[in-house]
This record gives sequence, C-alpha cells and structure tokens, in this order.
Amino acid sequence: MQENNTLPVDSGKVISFNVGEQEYCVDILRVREIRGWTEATPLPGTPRCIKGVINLRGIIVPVIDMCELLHVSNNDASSRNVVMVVDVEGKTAGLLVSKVSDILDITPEMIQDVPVASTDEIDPLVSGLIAFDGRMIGLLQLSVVAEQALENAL
Amino acid sequence: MDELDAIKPIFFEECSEQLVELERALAVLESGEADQETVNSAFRAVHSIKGGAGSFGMTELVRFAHVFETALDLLRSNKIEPTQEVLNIFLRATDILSDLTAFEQGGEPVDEQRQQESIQSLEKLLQKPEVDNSEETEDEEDWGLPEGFVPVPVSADMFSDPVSDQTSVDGQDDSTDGFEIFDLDTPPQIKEDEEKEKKTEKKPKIEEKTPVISDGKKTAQGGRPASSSSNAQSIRVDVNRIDRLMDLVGELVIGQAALREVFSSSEKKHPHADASSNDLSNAMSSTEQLTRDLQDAIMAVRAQPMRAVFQRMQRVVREAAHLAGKKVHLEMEGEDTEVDRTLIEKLTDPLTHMLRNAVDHGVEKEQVRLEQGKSATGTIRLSAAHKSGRIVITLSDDGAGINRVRVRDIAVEKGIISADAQLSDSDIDNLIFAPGFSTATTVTDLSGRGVGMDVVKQAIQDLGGRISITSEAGKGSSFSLSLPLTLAVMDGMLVTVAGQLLILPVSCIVETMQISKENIFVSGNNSTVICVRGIFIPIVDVAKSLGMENRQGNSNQPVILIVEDDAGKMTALAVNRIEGQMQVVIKSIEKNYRSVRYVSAATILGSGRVALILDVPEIAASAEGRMLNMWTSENENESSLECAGKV
Repeated sequence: MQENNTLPVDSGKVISFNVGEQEYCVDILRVREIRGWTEATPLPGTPRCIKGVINLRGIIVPVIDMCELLHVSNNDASSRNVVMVVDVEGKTAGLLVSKVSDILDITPEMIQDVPVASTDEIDPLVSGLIAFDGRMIGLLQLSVVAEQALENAL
Repeated sequence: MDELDAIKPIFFEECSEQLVELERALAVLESGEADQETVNSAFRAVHSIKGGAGSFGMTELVRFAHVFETALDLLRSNKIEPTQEVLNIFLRATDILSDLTAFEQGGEPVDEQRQQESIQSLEKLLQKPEVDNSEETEDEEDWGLPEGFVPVPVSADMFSDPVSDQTSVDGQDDSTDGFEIFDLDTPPQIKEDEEKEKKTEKKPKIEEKTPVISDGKKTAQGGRPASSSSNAQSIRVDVNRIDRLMDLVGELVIGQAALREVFSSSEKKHPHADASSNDLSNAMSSTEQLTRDLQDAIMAVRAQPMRAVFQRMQRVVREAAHLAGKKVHLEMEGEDTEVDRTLIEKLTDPLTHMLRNAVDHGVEKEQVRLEQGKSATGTIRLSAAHKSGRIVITLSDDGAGINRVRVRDIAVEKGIISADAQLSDSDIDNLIFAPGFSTATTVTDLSGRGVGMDVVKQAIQDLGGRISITSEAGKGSSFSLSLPLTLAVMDGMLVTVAGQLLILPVSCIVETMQISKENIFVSGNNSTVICVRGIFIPIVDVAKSLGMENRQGNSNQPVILIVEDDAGKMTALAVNRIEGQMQVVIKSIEKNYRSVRYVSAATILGSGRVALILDVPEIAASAEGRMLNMWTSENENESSLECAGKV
C-alpha cells in the first residue's frame, strides 16, 4: 500500500455495488451513507437518468439512476434497490444501484485498463477494471458521473 | 499581529457603521434640523475611524480622517457654518473616507486626484476662520508627519472644547459629576447628551494614550455605544450562528407538520375522538403557535433596518448627479423598516442601478426643468414600508416620465416588438424591462451599458419579488418593488397535479375556483381561455407544462388558480386538486443539482417527502400547457363549437 499516490482511490478501499448484472465500485471515502430506496420526487424536464430528488435530513439531493446512466437493462426493478449517497464535485448526490455487495482492498496493480476495440468506444465513466474473485468490477469515475448526470441539461 | 488581524473585520464592520452614522448626520445637517448632537455624532464617527485605523497602521486612512476630523471640529465649535457649500465638501470627504476604508479591506485604490481635491477643500475650510487659527495651522502641519504624532493635537482640541462652546454641558460634566442625580432641574435629554458627551470626551483620550495594540481592541469593543444613536443594548453575533438557528427552526416547522400529519391520519382511523385526542390536538396547536412565534423572533434577529442600504444610496445619487451635471435631491422615508439581512445585501445592486437610471434618464437637466416651471433641483423619493406581509419599496422621481414614443421606437428598432404591435401605455412602460433594451443614445458613465432594467427585474424576481412601473409624461416615473420579508420561509398553497404534490406561493394567487364548462373557450391558436366575470384569462395546464402524464385522467374536474404577474397580467393555472395551505421552508435544488425549469425551489413536507415549489411566472408564460387537455379531450366537439362562436 506504499504506492497510494498512483492509486486513483485515496483510501485503498472501495465499495462495490451491482447495477443490474454488472458490478462497479467507488472510493469508500466518497460514500456518505447507504439508504433504502424511498420514492423520489420527479423533476420536470430532466434527463431519464435523474430519478428525482429526495430529502436527506433537510437537504434536497438528486438521485441518479445508474441503470439509465450506464445503459444497463434492469430486469429486477424490485424494492431491494438502494441509494448510495456520495460526495462529488462539492455536491451531494444519490446513486440508485441494485445492491451494495462488498468492501474491497485494492492496490494499483489490480487495476487494468479498459480494453477497447476503437478509440470511439472509450467510456469515460469507467476508468479501469478490477478482476476480483472471478468477477469484473468497473472503477467508476464519480466526477464524470456528476458531469454527465448533474450538469448536462440534455 | 495575529490578534490584530483577528479583530480587523470587526474594525471594518464598525467603519461601515460609522460611515452610515456620518452620512446620516450630514443628511440631517443638510435638512437644517441639526442640533449640536448631530455634529458631535459626525465628529465621533470620523474620530473612531481614525482611532481604529491608527492602531492598524493604516497611514493613508489616518491622514485623511485627521484632516476631515479637524474640519468637522470647526463645525462643532461653530467656527464655520454648515452651509451647503461646506456640507458638499464634507459629503465628498465622506465618499473618500468610505473608499479609503474599502481600499484597506482589499478594494480598489482610491482616485488620487479626488482625494487630493477633497483634502485641499477641507484644508481651505481650516484656513477660513481668522480667530483661533494658531491651533489649526499646527494641525495642518502635523498631518504630514509620522502617524504616531497625529492624535496629540486632537486630544488637545478636545480639552479646549468645553471652553469654546459646550460650556454649559461640559462644565457641569466636569464639576458636578457626582451630583448629577440631584439636579432635578436638568431636563432628561440634556442628561443623555451629557452621558454621550462624556463617552466621547473620555474614550478618545484613553485610546490615544494607550499603546497601539490594546488601543485597537478598545476601539473595536468600545466604539459601539458612542456610534449608535439609540440607547438599545446589543451584542455582535456571528451571522452563521443565526443562520444555523434559522435552519433549525425550519426543521422544527417540518417536524411540526409531520406530527400533525400522523395525528390526523390516526384521527381518521379512530374517528370517535375521546377527550385525550382533543387535548392532544389543542396541545399541538399551541406548540404550532409557539413555533411560529419562535420563527418570527428569529426573523426579527436577522432583520435589519433598510437604512443600511438607503444611506449608501445618498452617495450613489450624489455621484450620479455630479457626473450627469444635474441637481438631484434624494428624499428617503421608512429607513427603519426592517427586512431580512439576506434581502438587504441583495437589494443594493438593483437599487443602485435604478437610482442611477432615475438620475440619468428620469430627472431633466436644470435648464429644462426651469423651462417647464419645475424647481431646479430634481427630487427622487425612496421609501420602504411593510404592506401585508411584504416589503414595498418605491422609487419615484419628478422628472420627465417615460417617453413612450421613443421607448416604442427603440423596442421596434431592437426587434423586441413588431412595428405594428398594439400596446397599451403600461405595456410600453414595461418594455424598459425587456432584455437588451436601453434608451440612452450614448453610452454614458452612469447607465446605458446595455445591462439595464432587465437585470434589475431579474434580480428582484430571483428574490421572489415583483417590480412594476407607473409613469406620467412630464410628471415623473415611479417604480414599485414588492418583496417577501424573508427568503427562508413562505406561505404555500399545496396542490395536486398528476398525482404529485406541488407548492405555489400564496402571494401570487389572486383567487381559486372550480371550473365550469360554460366558462371555458378555445381560441384560434390552440389555446384555452377561461371567462371570469367577463374577462378572458388564458389557461395553462400545469401537468402538461411540466411534462407529467395525467395519471388521474379526466376523472377529476380541474381546479383553477388565478395567478397574477408583476404587470398585473393574469393567468389561470389548471391543477387537479387543492390540498390546503401551509407554511413551507424553502430549500435550494441548485445546491446539489442545477436549476430546473418551472421549479423555483423545493420544500420538505410533513411526510418527509420533497415537494417542488413552482416558478409561477415562468409556468404562466409556458407555451406547452396552453391547451387544457383534461377538459378539451373530453368535450372536444362542444368546445370547438364554442370556439367558433367566440373567435
């Protein structure tokens, strides 16, 4: 864990979660809390990936539907969905995910580049892949999430 | 030095208070109603600034304040008369003093030439009195010397003061100090004056004799009683603490609503209320009342008199008039009207702009005024008052009024309206709020930079306010701003639209009504109107504007809310149901997201859910909801028939 400076994650720990069938992770220090899904208030004229806003102890927080953002089909739209409240770019946002699975210790050598067939296909949302326990976990770039979901009016 | 840095902000805050006080005193002098205490308070203000500045080593500020103070002392000791000429010099000097303090705070550097001019004119005053000149000339020589030297002659002045003019009061002060209580013949005011006089006389002496560092603290803490003209006791509290308190009360209001909701739902389950549920209801009502009182009390803590903004406006007008070469007098009324401090901060810019406009475009040149039989000096009146839960600020001038022909021509030229548009006088007046509209033919120093009244209007609307204008040719124009008292809480109307709860500000709702189909008409360009007592008002379907599908279909007859915009234009908003009225705490959506069209903010309901607060003017102007779906789809044939009959 000496190479922390090269790690895109400050703490060396990530929280992994499922979006549909796929698995992603974010830096544990960026996650404020995880809460059960409560119905959000939809906002008019916002992109599909914005589920609406919820009340987080008196603060209005937008909820981003990660299935919509990552274009993952979600067959299992059950109430098992959870909201991960994250700090991103000075704002607080909720990520609606299917379930939270693990807390993982990672090292820089565990992170592989995302293989791409052509440069057009580069998805800025995922900056790397982690092979873990026979699973593939995408390292999610929260700043890109914020840029795509919170700022673009679409 | 760290300790000094820590109290610097306090010093600057005091400076701004002193400057307000100074400005006020000069305004009173100008009106000719000044007494000795007015002059004293002006002197004290400058003196306190000098004292504080000295301890922070702000040489430039000390020098200037010293010259200013010396000149004011002449006025205090009746060696010069407060003529308009003299007062103008003092007013100019006040501006420079304010600029100098702003510079020390990290603002723009002061115009060297103006400062020199001001110093020269002040010095000229010092040379005028023939008598007693010896002392003053000493002072003049002094101000060029190192700063540590400066205060000494002033305290000498103060000692000499009682002999010259304040003999009666100060003489008593010195000799009969201990017997004051028994002096029943002395009217109370004089005693008060005496008290204040004592403070001024004593404090500066201490300040100037103690070493530099502790000196600063004394000024910072002790400056207050001398500066405030009232005897009210006060403490300085960090604004953040008050904001925190305000937030907590907001949460309390939400909690209160939650409690009420739980209670009423349990009431529904057990409709046969026993005595205890009645008691519970009463207890809840009284805590609700207390919460409201608490909220009002905290609002009162945050409230500040408008004076803080208004006094600054004197200078704005003075400088604008100077630049435009016009004579303008600013009359103020209701400076003591209190509003939330957040509003005060945000009102300064719009008001500045409006006043500059009034001087530049409203008030005519002296010669023109005289030709029209008006007084040479134009008058601008600025007033503030509370009116049915809102604050109303009016700004009127006695100038030329709006030149409607010219405004119209310009609007056509700039493509704001088409050449053949039919506009009422009030429509034309309101054109000045249109984006990109500016009537000044040349870009002057004052206004006409292209950002005009539209920016003002936007700023006022952002505060939840409305602006309107009335104008009469040759008699002048009058702007009226109506603003909410606070930006934190408002009264909201809770409505259901497509199964979702939404809030509309009660302040913009004129009336509500059940829809009845005889009153609904479809006009040619695919829009529905409602006829209310003979007046046709366009209907906007809120659900359609928001792009929400109407889950409830046509089962419910829509309810109409008539809303009014600043210009008095009415729009009928169609919603599914009115749920009631409640006090809501305004929460920002932009903080964690971005601004959303048709939504001005959000609030949290008793259930803990978020409800959106509609941006009524925006939704009223929306085109999407023009066709009332819930009605027309059902009665298509009928309405088109009616439409044929109507249009």
